[in-house]
Amino acid sequence: MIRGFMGLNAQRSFSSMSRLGNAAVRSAVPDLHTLKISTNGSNHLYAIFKLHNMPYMVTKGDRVYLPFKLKNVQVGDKLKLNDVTTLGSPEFTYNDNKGIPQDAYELTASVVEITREPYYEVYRKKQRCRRLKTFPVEPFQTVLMVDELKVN
Amino acid sequence: MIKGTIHQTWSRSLGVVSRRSYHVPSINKALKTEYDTINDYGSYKNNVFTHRLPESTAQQSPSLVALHSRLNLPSKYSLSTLSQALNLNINDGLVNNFGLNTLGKNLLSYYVSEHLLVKYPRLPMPIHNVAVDSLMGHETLHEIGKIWGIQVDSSTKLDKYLSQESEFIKYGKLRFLSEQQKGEVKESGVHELSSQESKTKIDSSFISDEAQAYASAVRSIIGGLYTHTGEEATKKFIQDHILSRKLPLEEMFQFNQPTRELVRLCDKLNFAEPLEIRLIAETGRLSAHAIYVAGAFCGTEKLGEGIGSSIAEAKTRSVVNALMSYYLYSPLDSEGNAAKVPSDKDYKFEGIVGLGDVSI
Amino acid sequence: MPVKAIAKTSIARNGIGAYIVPCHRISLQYCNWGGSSTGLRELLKTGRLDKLASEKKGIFFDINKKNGHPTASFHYNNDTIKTVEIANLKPSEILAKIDEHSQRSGNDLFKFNHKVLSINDSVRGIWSPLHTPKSHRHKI
Repeated sequence: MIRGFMGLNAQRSFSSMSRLGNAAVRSAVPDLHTLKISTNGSNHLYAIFKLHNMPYMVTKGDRVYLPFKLKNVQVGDKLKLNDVTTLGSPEFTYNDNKGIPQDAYELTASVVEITREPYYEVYRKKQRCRRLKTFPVEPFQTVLMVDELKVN
Repeated sequence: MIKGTIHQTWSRSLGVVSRRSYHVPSINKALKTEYDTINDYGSYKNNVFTHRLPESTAQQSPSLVALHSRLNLPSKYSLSTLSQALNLNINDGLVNNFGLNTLGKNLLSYYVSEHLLVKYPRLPMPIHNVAVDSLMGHETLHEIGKIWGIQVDSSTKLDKYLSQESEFIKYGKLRFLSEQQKGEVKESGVHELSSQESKTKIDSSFISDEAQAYASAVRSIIGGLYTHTGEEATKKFIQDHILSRKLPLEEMFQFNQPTRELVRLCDKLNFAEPLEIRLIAETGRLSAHAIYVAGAFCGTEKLGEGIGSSIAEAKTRSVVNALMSYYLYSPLDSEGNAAKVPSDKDYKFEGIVGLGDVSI
Repeated sequence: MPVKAIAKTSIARNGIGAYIVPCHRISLQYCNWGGSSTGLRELLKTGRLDKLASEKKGIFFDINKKNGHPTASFHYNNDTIKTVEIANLKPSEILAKIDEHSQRSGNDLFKFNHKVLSINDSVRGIWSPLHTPKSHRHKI
């Protein structure tokens, strides 16, 4: 159960956020007309979304490097990012720490690459043991491309 | 010494004469065209025998099937058309992509110029042309063809026989090299220009045959999509693959006399007040690294602002910023969305038409 | 001419609009005799590889028989070929390798120490001390 996104692909659906009692879903859609007008047709718009409670500030066309392998997704999947706390234009910011209602914006990302970080080794020293323990590390990395970002 | 000068001018003028930049129409001999009289265009007939690749054969080409599904093409798009789009050879007995290429090129130029004209109506003509090239020029289409994973069929018949490669694989590859060209031994780091390539040579750059072939294949695939699925799907495809690319418009401007241009522009727009460039702030002339902020103003309206390490630099930057913000303006509709393009559903004109370029 | 143009090619953004899998071809090489190819041979025999190939429709699989240890070569659309040793691996491990490498882009692995990589201009711009009112500016 991942907090922060759900899959858009029909054949493979993911957990939706609404079940977790997101306060934003219950509240009414805010009027973001002023914000929208100042974004030059959503060209100058940024959003801060949260994934696993970690904020990421993105604009359209950005690549998000996640230092882990996102569960149950494959390359090419489209994700709807549904935990957005901030939307901003050059002049205005709309912020709601509980999450902005999903109808107010559209933020999708596609999984572009699932790869690894370069290989490195981690050394651990134990007490009263003269040898170093060596651990090979090659952690996973998931790259998302912000596909669509606009204020509705 | 005089002789030397004469010789130089001669060779220079010869160089100019021998470069033909205009198109000379000529009949392609390979098509074995016959006609009653040369003026009677209706009687023109190509006698070269060509046939379409049977669908059953095309289905056996794994590279072709993979390309079809990689591009997410609809099942209506037949594999034989896709294979045709990849064929540039005239003489191999199979239909080539000439017609599809023309169709695709027209579709592309329509949707690209429509997009640019509506989104950036005030773009000066030279920038507009370069922007069109940036989205659908041969270099870009070559890159797109590479991204699509199209491979060149570069092995000879003998190589194929020796490596026991299935004959069907080549139907999913880009075929533009003749059997003779494939057989040529290549020296690494050396590229011999073909006659076509040397025609396109400007300074040290040229358009390679491969780039042309890739571009042609990409255009033909778009043309094929139109023939099978119609306009709506083609438009979506062009939007997804071509118009979704990032267009670095800000980097395309090169101003010679920006201040003069801005003054002319203000005249053209009938601004009541004269253009003034004012200093907004500075760190102090005697500070270690002086920084100035200048603004281009028209009365109380600030047109642009620029930061520079000298007053002249700040002034120029402010003027360039003002010009850029004028030229790169994109109109919005009443809802605050980007203005619709004419090919959209229930299109209503909400954008603007540019006033044309200024002259200095 | 008031303004001259500088030719630039547009920048590809795979994943916006359409997504094209960067890995377009996987060549698997096995030996019919050697013990290190047992895993791959079993995959080929049981048809599990066919199943994988039919799941990954955009990728062209080709299988070669050649002496020596088995390898898997991944051809990416940036003209790189990555060859992976699959000697002495179990069938499931080979499938995992294929699955992993087919989802890569073919670029060199790199550690990105930030969260977001952007080619767009910042929406808010850069803060400037010279744009605060004169009375609030820092005085030396």
